[in-house]
Formats: sequence, structure tokens, C-alpha cells
Amino acid sequence: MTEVFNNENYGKHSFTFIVATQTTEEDWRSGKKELPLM
Amino acid sequence: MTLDDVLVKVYVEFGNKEGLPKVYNNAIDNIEKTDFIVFVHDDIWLNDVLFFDKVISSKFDVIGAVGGLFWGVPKGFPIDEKPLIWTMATCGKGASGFMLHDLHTYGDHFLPSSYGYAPLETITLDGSNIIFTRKAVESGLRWDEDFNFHWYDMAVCFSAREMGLKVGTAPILLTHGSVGASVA
Repeated sequence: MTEVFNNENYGKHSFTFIVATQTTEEDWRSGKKELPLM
Repeated sequence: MTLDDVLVKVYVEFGNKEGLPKVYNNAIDNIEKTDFIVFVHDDIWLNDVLFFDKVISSKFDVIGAVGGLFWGVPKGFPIDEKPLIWTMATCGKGASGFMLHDLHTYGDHFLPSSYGYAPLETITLDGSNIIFTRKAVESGLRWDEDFNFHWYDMAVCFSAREMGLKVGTAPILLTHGSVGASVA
């Protein structure tokens, strides 16, 4: 799993989102494929 | 509530070829302890600025945006040949929640699916967005790895209920990037 976001601010509640996608990390980072949550 | 009030982490399994339950269980067993784990499809937009508030204030242990109030096999449904989707499994006896669908074939138009009042305790939840509370995780709730991309959402709801956990919807606004199989 690749951690792609972390606001590093421990507040009152913590949420961890888990997304599985066939899209490759390269395609996402290059903007070739969109992942709506990010 | 703002992002300053919550810790948000997002993990992505890129290039995934495994069934969703296997990926999700692997995540549960390997991520840091958290109050809520949000298992979300890769074509979901979270449109709701009150998403965190609604989840935090939910009285349920396993939370979704939409789900069914009944589960059954519709008469004549070829259950050995095709997966039974939760909307069909309601047999017309009620559902809960609201979801927008992004229909690319209709340009910028969105198809709303209004299933019914939320929040409500439900029998099933749509797998596009299912949230485990810390209580659910620590109770040992896990996804059934006998399934891959169908059935798994209903199966985890059944498991949760068998464990005495409460399953239900929160009035969360989401957009699903496809019609999916959940259009009422």
C-alpha cells in the first residue's frame, strides 16, 4: 500500500481511507488517470 | 468541523489485481490504529463537506451511504449464474440513502438515486463506500476473501450483524463515477 496523503495533525478523530485501483501510480501521478478521492 | 479536527490518511493500492476483500483485510492488518476506516471505490467523489461530522455522529458500527432494508432472492433470479446486487436483494421492500451517479453518456448530467430516508439501520450496504468504526475492527470484523468484486459488501454486513454490530446508513452525499449496479 502507498501512503498518498497524511495531514500529520492528530486531532480528535482519525480517518483512514483505503482505495484499491487498477490504475498505476505512474498514471495517477502524471495525471493520465484520475482518482476522484484525491 | 474542519480538517484541523481530524487526522486523515489515504492509502491506495495501485495496479491492483486482487479481490477487494483481500486488499481491505491486508490494510486492516497493516495500517495504524484509527477511529474509522473508509473503504471506498476508486470512482467515488466525496461531495459532502459534513462527511466527517456525519460519520463521527453515526450510531452505527458499520456505516455506508446507501443500503437495503431487506435481503432476499427475487423470484426467478438466476442466483447460480449472476451476482445478486443489494438493490435487487431488497425485493422492493425498502432501502436507505442517496447517491449521485456520473453518467458520462449524458455529458455533465448526474443521475440521482434516492433510495430512502437516512440514517437508518440496514441489512446491507453498497460496497462503493463502507466504513468500519474502531469498534468494528477491534471486534474482529473482516471481509470475506471468498469473494472478489461482488457479494463482498453484503457478506460483510451479514458478518457484522452476526457479531452484534450495528449496520446502517449515514446521510452522506457521494457521487459514483458510474451507474454501477446500484441504481434503484
